[in-house]
Parts: sequence; structure tokens; C-alpha cells
Amino acid sequence: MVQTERISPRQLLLLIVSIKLSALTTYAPIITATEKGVRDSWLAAILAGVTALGMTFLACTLGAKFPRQTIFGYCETICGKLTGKTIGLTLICFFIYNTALCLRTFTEFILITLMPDTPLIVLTLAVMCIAAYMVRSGLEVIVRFNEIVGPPLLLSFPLLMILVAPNMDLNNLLPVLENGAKPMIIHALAPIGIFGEAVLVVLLALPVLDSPEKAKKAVLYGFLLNILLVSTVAASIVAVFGPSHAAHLFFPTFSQIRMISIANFLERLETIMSILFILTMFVKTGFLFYGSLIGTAQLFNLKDYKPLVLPLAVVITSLSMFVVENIVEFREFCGPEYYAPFALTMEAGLPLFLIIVAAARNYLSQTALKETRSK
Amino acid sequence: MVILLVLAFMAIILIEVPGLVKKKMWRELAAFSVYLWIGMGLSIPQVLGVKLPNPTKAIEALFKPFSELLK
Repeated sequence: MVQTERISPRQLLLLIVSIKLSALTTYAPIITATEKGVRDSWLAAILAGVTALGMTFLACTLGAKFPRQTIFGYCETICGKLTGKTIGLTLICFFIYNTALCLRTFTEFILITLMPDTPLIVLTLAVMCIAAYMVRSGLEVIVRFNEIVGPPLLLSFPLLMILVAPNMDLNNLLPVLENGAKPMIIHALAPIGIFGEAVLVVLLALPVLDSPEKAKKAVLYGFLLNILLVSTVAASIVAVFGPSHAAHLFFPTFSQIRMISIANFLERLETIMSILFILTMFVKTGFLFYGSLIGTAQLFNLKDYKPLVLPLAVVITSLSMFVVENIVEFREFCGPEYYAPFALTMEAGLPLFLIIVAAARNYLSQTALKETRSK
Repeated sequence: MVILLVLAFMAIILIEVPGLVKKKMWRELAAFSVYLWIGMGLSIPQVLGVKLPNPTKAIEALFKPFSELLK
């Protein structure tokens, strides 16, 4: 299908920031990934962010070779019909699975923090209806919605850091790298997978960007902002709670905001933060949902993806009901043992594989051309 | 519950299918039905109380060798 929508580099930047920020701060896998590396999680955030930035640049390079085509279009050009379709199908499954997982974590967050007595299915259906409506309206609507909710979320973090400062004890951050670098590196693995969601954003948004040459700059600034925010938030959480307590929190940022109490007057700020988190999580669910739809449409040469929104919404809703049993299981899955290799295979492995195959094919065809010329 | 679910599926079919047939978008119709079948296959057993295989467990089993490496 031909995409007529266009987004601007600024919108891409905000999309990258808010898609990762919501997951990285509500569940804060940067804190809870392992127990050993918690104290150095601000370092792990920088390491994970920089690694994921490299992965995203790789995806940018790949996308720049095939202008105005998404990954579903050019993986067939690169790998041939059968392999290309297989890769495309795997990627669609990855998107659907991720949407379901994102939806579930989203509803669990609302369920545990705000509405403990509501049945899960009611929340899931409510969220899914809004997400489906957003996706049906198109990518432009998602990114414009994000333009409204992204900046307030970004601005609220510096404010939060100032308000929470009286509770901090910076001695909790010492000693740095107590057991050497290895626990810190293992700790950084799982967040790489979540930072790496920028790869998915780039693979889908690069073809619809109105000025593709500015993509790398937008990605770079988006990442710098993200790394700065996530690293400060991680440091502040450890400073407030101490490493051993922080590792066992379910929603570290949320608990931290709940502790803010200034002059018995400025309290219960967590509601405002939750609203912002929830709004950006809509963006994430909507975007991943859009990815699975546009993938299906392009892989099977459909004219439009809109008729598929409702049936796929049913698939994702029912998948999200049993994708993880509860939040404890989700945390286990999100650790470095499982989520990191799973996400990295698709986010780093796939672009790398495609670049290598494309380069090899290019090289082979050029040598073949030379041989025929010399004859 | 099952009746509600079937009604929901019928509503989805009534919303989308007439437009697709009118515009002769057969490929879209095929994709639509495949997704709808998967959706039915995932949702109806859950309402009836049948436990479905968990994809997260499958992924965990797939990456077991790697996680052993980290310990």
C-alpha cells in the first residue's frame, strides 16, 4: 500500500522520547533488572542508551538505502520472496506480541496503582477501543497526539527531581562499580531491549518522514534527552530508596513521587504523573499496533489497512489477557535473561542481517557485471 | 459471555464486510477473515475457561541457553 502520510523530524524526536520514556520510567527495568547492579543503574542507563543509539543508527543506514519503503517492503527486495515473506511474518508476530505485552503492562499499571477493584478485561477493552480508534485515524493522528502529551511529560521530570530532592541521600550511590563492571553490563542488557524500541520507530517512521536527511539528528537528540532523563531518574530512585529497597519496588518512579510531601500541602502528585504516563502509553500501544497493521498491509499488497483494525484488535485484546499471568511473571520476563536476547534478535540482529545480505548481494552483482563487461 | 462475544464478532463483520464486498477488495477480505479466525481461536477458549499455551513461556524456553550463560 502507498503511504501518503508525512511526519516531521520534530514529531519523530518526540515519538522516540515518549515511547521509551513511558516504559522505562513506569516499570523502570533499569532499576529492577538485576539485584547486583542496582547501585550503578544510572551508569547502566547511559551504557544501554548509547548501545541502542548505535543500533538505531544502523537501522537509519538501512532505511536510507531504500527511500520511501518500510522494512516490510525492502526485506523482500533484499532476501528474495520466500525468505523476505518469512522475515516479514516474524516481524509482524513480534509487533503483535509486543502490542499485547505493552497493553498488558499498561492495564496492570492502572489496575495496581489506581483502580484495584476493576476487572482486567474492562480496562483492556477500554484502552483497546481508544487505541483502535487512534490507529484507524492514521499515523499522523498518533504523532500529533504525542506532540500534545509528550512535552508535559518531559517538563514534569525536572520538576519532579527538584521536588524529590529533599528525600535523597546521595551516599546511596556510592561506591560506584563496587563489584567491577560485569554486574553493571548484565544489568544494562534488558534496558537495551527497551531503548531499542527506537529501532522499530525508525524502521516504520523513516519512510514517511518529510525530510529524511534530518532523521539521524532527530534520533540523536531524542536519545540524548532520553538517556539524560532515564539516568537522572534511575540515580534519584536509588538515592531515595537505597539499592536493596529499590530493586524490589514494582513501580519505582510512582513510589518516589508518592513520597513527595512539601509543607503538608503539595502532596499526591502521583495522580498527575499517572495521567501523563497513561497518555504516553496510549501512544506506544497505538504505534506498535500501527506497526503490525502496516506490516500486514505491505506484506500482502493490500490497498488499505483500516478494515483489519477491528479483527486485529480482538487478537491483541485476547492475547494480552494471557500473555503474562501477573506482574511478577512480567518482571521475571523483563530481566536480562529473556527479554534482552528476544528483543535484541529483532531489533539489532535483523537490521544487521539485512545490511550484510544487501551488501553481499550488491558486491556479487557488481562483480558479475564486471565479468560480463570484461568478456 | 459466549453470546456477548459472538455478538461482538457479528458486529465487527457487519461493520467491515459490506464495504469490502462493495469495493471488491478480496485480498483485504482474506486478511480480515484470517485475523478474525485467529481472534476467535484466542478469545472463545478463554471465555469457556480453557487454558491456552502461553507465548511468553515459549520465548523463555527458546532463549534458555542464553539465560544459562548469564548465570
